[in-house]
Parts: sequence; structure tokens; C-alpha cells
Amino acid sequence: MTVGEKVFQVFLIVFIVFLCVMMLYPFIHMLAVSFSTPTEAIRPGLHLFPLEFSLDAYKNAFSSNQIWVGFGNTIFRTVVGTILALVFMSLTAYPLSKKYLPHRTFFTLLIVFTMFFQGGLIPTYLLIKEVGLMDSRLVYVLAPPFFISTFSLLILRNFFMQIPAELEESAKMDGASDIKILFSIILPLSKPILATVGLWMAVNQWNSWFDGLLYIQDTDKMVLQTYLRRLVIENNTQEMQAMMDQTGGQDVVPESIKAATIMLATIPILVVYPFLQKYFTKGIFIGSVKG
Amino acid sequence: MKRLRWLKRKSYFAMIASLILIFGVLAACSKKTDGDPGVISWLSFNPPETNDSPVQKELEELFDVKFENIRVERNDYRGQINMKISTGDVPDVIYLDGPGDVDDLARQGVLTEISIEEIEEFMPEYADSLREMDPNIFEYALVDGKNYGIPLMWPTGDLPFLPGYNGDWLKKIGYDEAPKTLEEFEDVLRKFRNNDPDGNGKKDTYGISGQGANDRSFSAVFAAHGVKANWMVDNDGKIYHGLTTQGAKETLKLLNKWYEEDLIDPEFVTKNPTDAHNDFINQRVGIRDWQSFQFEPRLGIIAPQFYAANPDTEIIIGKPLEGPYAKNVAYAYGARNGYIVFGAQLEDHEEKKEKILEILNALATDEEAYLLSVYGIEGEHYEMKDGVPMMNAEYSSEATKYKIGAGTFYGMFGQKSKLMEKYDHSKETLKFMEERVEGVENIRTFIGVVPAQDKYPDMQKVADEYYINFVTGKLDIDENWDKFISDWEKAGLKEITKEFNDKYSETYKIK
Amino acid sequence: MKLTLSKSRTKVNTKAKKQSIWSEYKKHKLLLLMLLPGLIWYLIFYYGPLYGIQIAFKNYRIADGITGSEWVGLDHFIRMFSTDGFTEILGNTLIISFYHILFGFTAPIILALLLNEIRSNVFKRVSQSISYLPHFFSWVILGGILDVLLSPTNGVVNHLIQLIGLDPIYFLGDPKYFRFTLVTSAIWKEIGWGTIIYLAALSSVDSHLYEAAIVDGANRWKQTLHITIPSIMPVIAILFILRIGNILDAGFDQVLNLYNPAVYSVGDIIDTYVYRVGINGMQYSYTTAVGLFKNVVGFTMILIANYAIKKSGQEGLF
Repeated sequence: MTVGEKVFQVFLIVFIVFLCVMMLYPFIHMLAVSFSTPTEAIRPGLHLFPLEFSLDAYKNAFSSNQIWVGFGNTIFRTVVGTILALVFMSLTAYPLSKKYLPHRTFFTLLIVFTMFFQGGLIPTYLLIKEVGLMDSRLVYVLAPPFFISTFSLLILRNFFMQIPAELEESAKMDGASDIKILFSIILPLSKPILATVGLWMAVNQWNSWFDGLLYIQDTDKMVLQTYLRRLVIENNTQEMQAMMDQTGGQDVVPESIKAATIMLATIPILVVYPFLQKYFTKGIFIGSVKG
Repeated sequence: MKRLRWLKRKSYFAMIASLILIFGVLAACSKKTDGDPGVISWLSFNPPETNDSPVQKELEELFDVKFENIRVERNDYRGQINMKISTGDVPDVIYLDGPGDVDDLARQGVLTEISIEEIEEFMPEYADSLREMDPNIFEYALVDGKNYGIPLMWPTGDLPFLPGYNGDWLKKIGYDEAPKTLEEFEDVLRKFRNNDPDGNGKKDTYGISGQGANDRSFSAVFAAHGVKANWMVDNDGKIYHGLTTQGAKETLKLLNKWYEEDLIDPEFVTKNPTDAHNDFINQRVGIRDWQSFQFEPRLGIIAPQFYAANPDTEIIIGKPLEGPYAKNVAYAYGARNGYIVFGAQLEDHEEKKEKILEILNALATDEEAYLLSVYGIEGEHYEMKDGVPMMNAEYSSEATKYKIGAGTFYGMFGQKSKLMEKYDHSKETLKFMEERVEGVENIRTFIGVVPAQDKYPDMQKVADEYYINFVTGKLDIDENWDKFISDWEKAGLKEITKEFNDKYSETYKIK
Repeated sequence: MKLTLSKSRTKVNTKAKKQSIWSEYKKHKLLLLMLLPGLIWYLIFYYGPLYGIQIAFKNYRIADGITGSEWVGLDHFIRMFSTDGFTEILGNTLIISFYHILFGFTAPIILALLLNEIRSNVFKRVSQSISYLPHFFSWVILGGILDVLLSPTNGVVNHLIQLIGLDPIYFLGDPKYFRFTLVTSAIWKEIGWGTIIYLAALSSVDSHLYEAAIVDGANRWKQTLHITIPSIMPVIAILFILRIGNILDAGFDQVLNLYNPAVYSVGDIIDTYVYRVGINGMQYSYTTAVGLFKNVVGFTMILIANYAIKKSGQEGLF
């Protein structure tokens, strides 16, 4: 390394550490508040660790069986939803990445068009009713914005387009079909992008709460986020304040409970990423071009 | 060449044709299902956690019905109701916050009329108790002369907004009781800011804070000038907005004076009510003017938290301030509250409608039903103490009652039925409430609905901007007052005021 | 004679073209079959409900249904444009969005390149994971945290500002600083998460290219300029086109949680305006019309961006 590069490395490390400290604060703050007593939770100032410790907020969250019901349904939708999405997005993106696909522009436009022009909530709700997905867990994995994310689809498609044609050509000459090529050549080479798109889908599935509210009646099918949101009343709106006054204040949700629910809502999905990091390592292409 | 292009188009046409086919098939079907007549779909807030909670089961047995719980979130109640019913699936029973909501839904055609006669027939004692509190109670939510809702009253809403003072700080600055006049109040503010009342050696305390341009901010100061920052109506039935008055102008000028002198927390601009409560609880601010019930040491939003954080400090609840225009006047929410409405499909099911009215009557006037829906099962969820139900520890907050199915969902009449009020508050609480009300005159509450409000839905934005800019001094009040009024009138104030007066003057006239 | 000949030739050509389209379909039938499930899904779930878009041109009334509600043509659009202060709102939306794109779009790219330079694998992984933490908190939460951190009376940031001798800044309540606060805090929230896609692209760069460059004597900076950046250009291009499609989205969630009347003049955007309107009643048609306006503009923008990107040599959207 040259002197210049050494200096750069030092600055780089300092800068990244500084960045990490700033990024960490909200998380540490929430963690500390979640383990605080209600009085400590609203203490003004920085919260780096609870000055008055309490497990009450977590006890409250786990006091009901519904949290486990929620966990179960959410894990279902995250795992199944992500796998389904990856499969069908790959199946759809691959043909669209081939320039020789007849009417390729038409199909692409057909899909992109839906990103901008949509019927709206009311007709979609009616449709969900018509196709029989109301009050069914399948609505979590089949209805938009899941199953296929147009955004991810396009990213995937363009990534496929970057893969050198020679790799496919040799397989084609051996008589391999399009599907075989997709699954045995293209997808293995696309691990980083599949990991990315899969992560996006998984996080969206994990955080989703609105579709449950709209389409699901059966409380056995509720997801974790719906349960957790119940514990918390986001009293940021002025209208909410009058309602809180009405119930005579017995309704104050301690900040500690809010923080605990946020921790429970986010930590499980946070631990997924480190496992995916191995897909982002360099050198996937070594050996493939030469071979 | 032309032939070629036409052929390409032909395949496009084929695809478009099949699309239109799919369109048509899917668009054609949108039937409304009425559902099982033996099942009552119910929508209010804080739905039970599961569909088989103990309270729900007991209620179903009591009334021999089945309930279907429709769930929306507290956070966005109105918005989510709109969404759920926008598809035409309207619950049988819905709790709404106010006459505006009733008007909206009625005009959308999703409600069925509930005539006043029907209410008097099926809920006679309840209707009488309403009229006792306000003889005009049925006139506020009429839509083109028709009635769609069963009104609810919330007596606690009549408790005035009063300033609460940090008792220790008052003593420290030399006051042995709460300030009575506006001048004394200003003196207290000054000393709270400058004399280090919390004794920590730092100038880190403020007199008072607020919640932006909300009508409850600085309510005590507005009240000392005889006004509030919202719609007002005088005894002759004249309706006007409080912010257009001379009293409001002087209040804003005074607030600006205090702001420039750094007596008011400058961050009030970005705070919401909870933030401002917390400032008082955390002893950053010495005065909190809010609904006085919230200073009730056992039950309110503010007092229990305050005493948990500061067990040795007392909250001294003041009386309204004496100002240039008024002496004992205070802001209050008013007792008028929500409405219970019925979905339009009940129009064709007279029997079901009557059954629901009977159920509601029981919930409002029958001891067993009331206690069950609001508090749960005696012995399991609460104990009777001196004739007043005391919730067991794990259910003491509204936020946990839904786990057993009790609370505001089925218990819509909780604290809102005069006939059942003996169960609502302990003797101590009743005494507390009496003390707050004594000698205080509430500013009359005006609520109304007119079409112009839909025409100018963003009217408030203009007022909010001017309010903040006047208080912070960004705009000089004397120079800009007339422009403020004329801008606001243009943004809808003029038309809405006129329509309010045309529609409601008679109703509000004290005869 | 000539005429008849050319006619028959056209006939032959047409038949040939017709056959060639079908034979193209047959030739790639497996490919089309792979496309079919997704296509059908789009038709059902997106094109099926598309008829609902007409409520932007109607006065939707629930009892009348979508088909039964009365037509009002362009009334809602006229109403939107003639709203007092609409120009200010539109202006704010465009300006804030422009800043978000200029700074917020480029920030993750730069961070990704920097992270790529970290030598220690462990440090790299850990800092990546930490950097995306703020993404997971909603603006409701972050708004509350920002209130504390940026407080002019006792916030950490202002504490530091005063230490270097300046006056405290009311970041959230001063129109001069509000947009700056919006853009900076948005970067704080999303920069880490935004690097993921670029890191994925970076990991696919053929390492042989670097080896060859080193042999040629290129230093790290030159490598970055001539290998790294061009390699991730395709990803940048397509992400940019898609981002431009959201040009009238200035970050509703964030603004709603951070704005207040003191900064309406610089912070009120189309979506917050629509939100306030929406609270007031069942203004479905009006809000749909505004949404449609935003989407038409967005779609037009990506058509333009797509054309420009293709002209510059990159792969576009179509």
C-alpha cells in the first residue's frame, strides 16, 4: 500500500465508525427504553441504558397467547411468501431478459404500467373477495404487493441481462432447455441479487400488517405486527389525544411498552441479514467464464 | 408494408381483447352480501383480542345473538372505517366520533335512518336521560332533517380545562397558592423560567409549553380573554370562530410577548399533547393547562405519571385566570360525544334493527349488561368496592380490557350513560370532579356539519400558519391581522361561518 | 402486370410474416410458458381492478358503487390545480424530491464503494449490519428520537453546535433548515439499507479485471474509476429510472411525522395535503385523482429517463 492508500484507510475507518455510532443510537435508545420503568421511559435526554430497569414491558407483550399465533403466521408468510416470490419472479424475469422473446417490449410495458396505474383499494378489495382469498392465509402470499414485486422483477431482469451469453450458449448447444438453463446456470450465478431481492421481500412480508387488517377476520390468522400494533397507540395525532382523554387516562401506553413492541417487531428479521452476507462475497465468477 | 403493420396490430388487438374480457368478467361481479341475520357485525374501538373472549360469550348468551367483530385500529379509526366500508361491506353497528362522521356516512348512502321516535320507543329511559342533559340533543346530527345516530354523552367532558402547577416550584418562588389573575400568571411564568425553581443550578426550566397551533394550547390564557381558538357560539345563536375575535388577537399578542421574553418553551411548535404532558411530568415545565380530570391522582393521564416520577411534589390545580374580558371562564370539550349508527342493510331487516336497539338499550340502562360490557365478569375481572367496580390489577388499563372483551367495544356506553353513572366513579373521584367544576363557566361548545367544510377541507392550514407565526413573532400581529382574517375568509372561513349560522343559529339560541 | 405481381408478393410476404410470428412463439414456447403464470397474475390482480381508476373522474358514492357513481370529468383535477396554495405545495414536492434524488440517491452508492474498500472482513460485515438498522424504524419512532436529538434547548446536536460557538438551530421548526433536516435524516435512515443492492452488484464484478488492472499499474482509485463504477453502472441506471418514476413522492411518512405549521411553507407536500383533505371525509375520488396525477407525471418521467439512459449506452427499462 502506498502512503496515500494508508491515509485513506485510516480516514475510512474513522468515518465508518462515526457513521456506525450514529446509526446505532436509535436502536440502543429503543432497547434501553424497552427495559425501563414507565417513569424512566419518559425521562428526557439520551437513553443509552435504563437507569431504572424493568421487564414489565416484555412481560406485557408475552402475557397473551396471541403473540405466538402472530409469530407463527408471520413466519409462515415470510418464508412461504419469499420462496414463492423468488421462484415466480425468476420464472418471469428470465424470459423478459431475452432480447429474442417475441413482443418483449409489449410484455415489459404491460408489467411496468401496473407500477403507475392501479385500480385502487376498493376494486382490489372486491377482487380479493371474488377470487376467494378473504380470510385466508393465502392472501398474505398471493395478493399484491407480494408474490411479484415489479421493482424487484425489473432489477432481476436487468441482472440476468448482464450475464454473458457465452455461458448459456454452450449449454444450449448441448440441448439444454430454457428452464434447465435458468435453474442450473443463471440462478446459481445470481446469488447476490437473489439474496437482495429475497431480503427485500422477506422484510416486506415481515413488516406487513395492513392486509391482515383489511382481509382477515379470524384472529387465528393474525400476524405479529397486527398484534404488536394493538399494544401501542401512536398518539402522535391531535385527534388521538381527545380520544385518550375520553377514556380517562387509563389508556396511557407507557413508552416502555411501545419500545418493547418495536424491539419484538424488528429484532427477529434483523438477525436474518448476517446469514445472507455470505452471498455477497466476491468472486462468484471465478472459473465460470474460463470454463 | 401496410399489411405488415396491420398484422402486428392484429396480435396486439387479440391481447387487448382478452384483457378487456378479463376486465369485464371481474368488474361485473360485486354483490353485496347481507350476511346471516342472526349475526350482528359490530364496530367500535378496542375490539376484543380474540373472537371467543369471555365477555363476548356472556353477552351472546345474554342476548341470544352472535357477534361478528369488525376490527380497525385506534390510530387511524376514521380512515380505516372509511376503507372498510368503501367497498360496500358495512357493519350493522358502528360507533362514530361526531356529527361530521354521521353526515359523511349518511350522504354516502351506507347508513339506515334511525328515527327519533324509534329511539324513544326502544330506549325510552336513555332518551330521557339525554334530554335531561341537553334538550336539543337530537338536533345536532340531523342530515337533511333525518336522524341516523343514537347520541352519546360524556359527562366528564364538561370538566373544564384548568392550569395545573408544580406545587414545589410555586412555593419556591414565593406563592402559597395558585395565581388568580393574568398578571400573577405572567409573574409565575417569569419566575419559573428565571429563578431556577427546580434548584439544580441550571436555567433549564420553562413556565409553560403547548402543542402547536392546536385549540387546546394555552387554553387558560385564551379563556382569560373569554375565548377559545375554535368555533364558538353565543347565547343568541351567533356562531363565529374564536380566533377572529379581539380577545384572541390580544391573547396572541400576549403569547408573543412571552415568547420573545423566552418564558414559553419555544419547542411547543413541534410538540404533541403527550410531549407537553411529559414536560410537566419531568419537571421541565411548571404549568400544564389541560382537561382537569387528567389531574385526578388515581385515574388521569397526567397525575398518576407525575406522582410516580415525583412522589413528594403536589400538583396544585388552579382556577381559571382573571383577565381583561373574563373571570371564571374555561375551555371544555363539552359533554356531547359520539354516535351509534346502523348499516344501510338493516333497512330491510326491521326485526334485526329492533333487536339491536333492544341490545343497546340494555347496554345503556341495564345494570347486568352495562357492568358486563364495560368491566367484565364480577369476581373474575373486577371486584365491587363501595358499589363501584374496581378492576383487578392486570385489567386496570383500558389497553388491557380488550383481552377479556370488555371495554369500549361492546361497552360503548361506559361512562356515557347518566343512568349508570353511579358505577363510573368512586366517591373520591366524584368529589374531585365537583371541586373542579365549582364556580367555573365553560365556553359553549359548538359542533356542526355543513357542505362548505367539504369544499374547503384545508381551511385550518391558513389559521395554523398565522397562529404560529404570530406567537413566534415571525409576523407582526398588528400589521398582519387584517390580512390574516381576509386570507382565512378566502380559504373558506367566510362561507363556512355563513352556512353554520344559517343551519344552526336557531338550534343554539338559548330560549 | 406490375400491379398484380406486387399484390401477390405482398400476399406471400404477409403470409410469411404471419407464419413467422407464430413460429417465433412456437420456437420460444417454453420461454413464453415460463412467463405465463406471472402474466396471468398481473392480469388478475392488477388489470382486473384497473376499472376502479375511473373514480378519479367521478364522484364516488359507496351506495352507488363504482359504476353507478356520477361522472364529473376533470372536476377533481381542476379543483386540485385551483386550490389556494397548490403551487406552493407542488413546488415543495418537486424541490424536496429533487434534493432526495440528488443526495439521497447518490449517498448509498458512495457508501457502498467505501464499504467495498474495507480490508477487514469482520469490520466490513459488522459495519454493514449496523448501517441498515435505522431503516427498520418507522418515522413515528425516528421522529420522536429526532425531536430529542435536535432539540434547540437541550438536544445533543445543538449542544455540539454551541460548543463551537454558534447559536442553536431549531432544525424542525425553522423554515430555513427544515428541508435540510428532511434530506439529511432521510439519508441517515436509508443509506445503509440502500447499499445492499450495490454491494450485491459489486460482488459480481469479475476479480480478473482487477488483477489485470494491477498488472497494468493502476492504483486503487484508478481501479475504482475504470472498473468498479462502470461495472455497477447498469444497476445504477435502472435504479435511477425507477427512482425518477417516484418524482412526486417527497417522503410522505417522514414529512407527516416531522412537519408542523411553522414549516408548512417549505415542507407541505402533495401527499400531506391529500392526507389532511382525507381526514375531512370520504374524499375518495379527489384523492384518487391526485394519485392519478402523480402517477401520470411519474410514468412520463420514466419514459423520458429511460430514453435518456438508453441514449447514453446503458440498458434501460425497455
